[in-house]
Amino acid sequence: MAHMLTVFLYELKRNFRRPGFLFTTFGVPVLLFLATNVIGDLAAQNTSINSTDPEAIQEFTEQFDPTMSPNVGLVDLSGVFGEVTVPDTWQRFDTDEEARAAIAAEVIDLYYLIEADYLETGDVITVVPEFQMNAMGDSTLSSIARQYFSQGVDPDIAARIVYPAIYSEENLTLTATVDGKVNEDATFLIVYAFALTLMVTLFMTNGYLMQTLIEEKETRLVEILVSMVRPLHLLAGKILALGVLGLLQIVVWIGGMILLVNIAGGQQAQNIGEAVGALGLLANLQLPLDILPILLVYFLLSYLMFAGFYSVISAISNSMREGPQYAVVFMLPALAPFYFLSLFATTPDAPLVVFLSLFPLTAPISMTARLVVSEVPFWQIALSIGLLALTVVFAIWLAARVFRAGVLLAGNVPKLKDIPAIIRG
Amino acid sequence: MPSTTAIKVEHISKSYGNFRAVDDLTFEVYNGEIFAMLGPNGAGKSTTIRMILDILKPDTGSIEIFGARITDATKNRIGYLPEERGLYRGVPVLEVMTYLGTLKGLSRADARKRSLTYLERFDLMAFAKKKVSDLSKGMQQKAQLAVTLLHDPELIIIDEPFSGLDPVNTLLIEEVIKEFRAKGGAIVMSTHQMYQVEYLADRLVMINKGTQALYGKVDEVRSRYALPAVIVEGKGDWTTIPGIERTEKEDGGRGTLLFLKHGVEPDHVLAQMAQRPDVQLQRFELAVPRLNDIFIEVVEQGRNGA
Repeated sequence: MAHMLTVFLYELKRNFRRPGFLFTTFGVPVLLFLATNVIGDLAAQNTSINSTDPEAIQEFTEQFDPTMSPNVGLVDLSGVFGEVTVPDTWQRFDTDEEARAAIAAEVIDLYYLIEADYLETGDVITVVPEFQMNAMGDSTLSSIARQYFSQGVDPDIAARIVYPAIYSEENLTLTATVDGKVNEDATFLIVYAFALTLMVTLFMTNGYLMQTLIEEKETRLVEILVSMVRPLHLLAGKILALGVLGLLQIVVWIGGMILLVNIAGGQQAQNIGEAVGALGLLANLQLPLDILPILLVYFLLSYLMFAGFYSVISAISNSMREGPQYAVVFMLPALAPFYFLSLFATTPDAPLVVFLSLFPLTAPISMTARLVVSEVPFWQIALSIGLLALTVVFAIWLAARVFRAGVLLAGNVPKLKDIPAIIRG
Repeated sequence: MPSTTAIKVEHISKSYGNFRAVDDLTFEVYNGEIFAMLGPNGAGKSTTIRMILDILKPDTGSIEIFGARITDATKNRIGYLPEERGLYRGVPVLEVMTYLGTLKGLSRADARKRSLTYLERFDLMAFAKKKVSDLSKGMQQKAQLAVTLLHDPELIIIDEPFSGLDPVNTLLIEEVIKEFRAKGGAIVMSTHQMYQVEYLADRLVMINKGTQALYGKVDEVRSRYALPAVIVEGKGDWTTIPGIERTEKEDGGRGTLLFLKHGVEPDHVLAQMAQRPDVQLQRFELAVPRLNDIFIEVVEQGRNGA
């Protein structure tokens, strides 16, 4: 037991210091948090220009006009924009032909053609000399239009004209459809986030487990180690250490999600939503904190299951090239639920979804996904955990049978026909 | 002969499937001696060592270490340097040494302190905080030997301890091994460098095809294979000495090999030479074969089924 503790402490320290682990565990949430705030701030600036001050509009134009061009033309066939104040650098043209000639002469970089029926249709054509991705935006013209149309209107009403509604959502039940599409998208996002968290943690920690085990075989350090430590104590120390690191990663990520939603999920997310539609879903997220204990149970069981299988693979692999190749046998089924994640969000009780959440290899991600979006019958949770626990027992038993000195010190990979003999001992 | 036994191996056998790697092997290793374990590749040496260290279990027979069956506590009294060896490549030398020291029962502080002492002695202090991968093969070799000795064991089992070392470092390691023996430690050394066995080892066992081919004191084993001849250097007509059957040029040397007639003792020939004024003797020694020659002869006999 003393050896196991020594191995545990050393592997904990060694793997915690891995740049990959530190970045994934702490760096990614921090980056996501920063990105959300930066995008939120930019979006807030972007959508708050409703000033009637021409200088502000000019400044805005120079800073945030998607065309980033001061040389803009305006052809107003509708006559609506006749008295509108436009930036000084803009040029008015009476006809489309004149404006086209100005583009050809490179006097202007683009122009807006306000159609004659603009008031009825809102149609505006942006004419550019060649394809420009950034010319697709029209926020400057829109701001000018808003400023013009809201002249003489009560400022509060004008603000509501610009922003008719600022949405927030109170999700009465996780399955309730408050606002069809938005709720569905938000649900999908949360399912995806939890499934991704579990998957990344499972495979990262077990990947490290495999790496340390195979490294010891590759360098032949394993012979010195097994002369001092019983193979099972060595394995147990490593599994425990990486399990703790996996748990830490899960806690940090879920904590990060909670923080992100609580701090950046309100107006900031709404701001983002104005600018970058998908991220605005953060405003609609409500994390199902009550199911976190069950998620942790799933993490622990699935971690032990994969740790057992990965240990078997590591014991019979002699290089880091071989190990991951064999691991695909377990990894592919585990990833299968990702192909059906939209199904989890829309119909979490579909037979395929139920099957995937009961089958041990796919259960960790599948049941996690189901639990965050719907209420799952107790018997299904119990059966799923029971089957998973049985598989854990099998995986650990298998690892104990295979992870022995004779196999670890063998110079070559055993043939398929030799595996039963190895298991029998 | 030292009074205490470090290792007692009695009639051990080990098979892998149908292949019998070790077959009824028996020998003892005493405290305060360097015990050479010899044998061709695949003879069963590594399997024997692994059984001594309790890494593998013998199918039959028994092994005692320090007079009892091996336990986890006993393992902390043993140092092991396997033939195929390595350390974590991406970890600083001092860190990996400290870790392995703690696995041998040392406290972290003690393991670190002892590691620094050995790094100093092995001229590796400048590399203490460098990664193992930054060390040359010879340096890694020394660091590994330091790990073997770190916990002050009473028995060390070292497999090819001199491979990859230059003459200066070879001398350093020889000194360390002799020092360990002088302190009463038992050393099991497996090597193919026969000349080192001749001048370092006290006793040996040679394993061939899993069985004991030779066992005993190094000098006695060599004497067993001695030719009925003496080697001489000097001036004189050697064929005129009574008791000499024929002469040959010493293979690879300056001397002459004098084969003795049946029943003639070397002492008798030496006495004869001393009485002859026409003979000037500069060298006289028994024609004891090199260990290397004995090794080859034994292996060849094994192949021929002799």
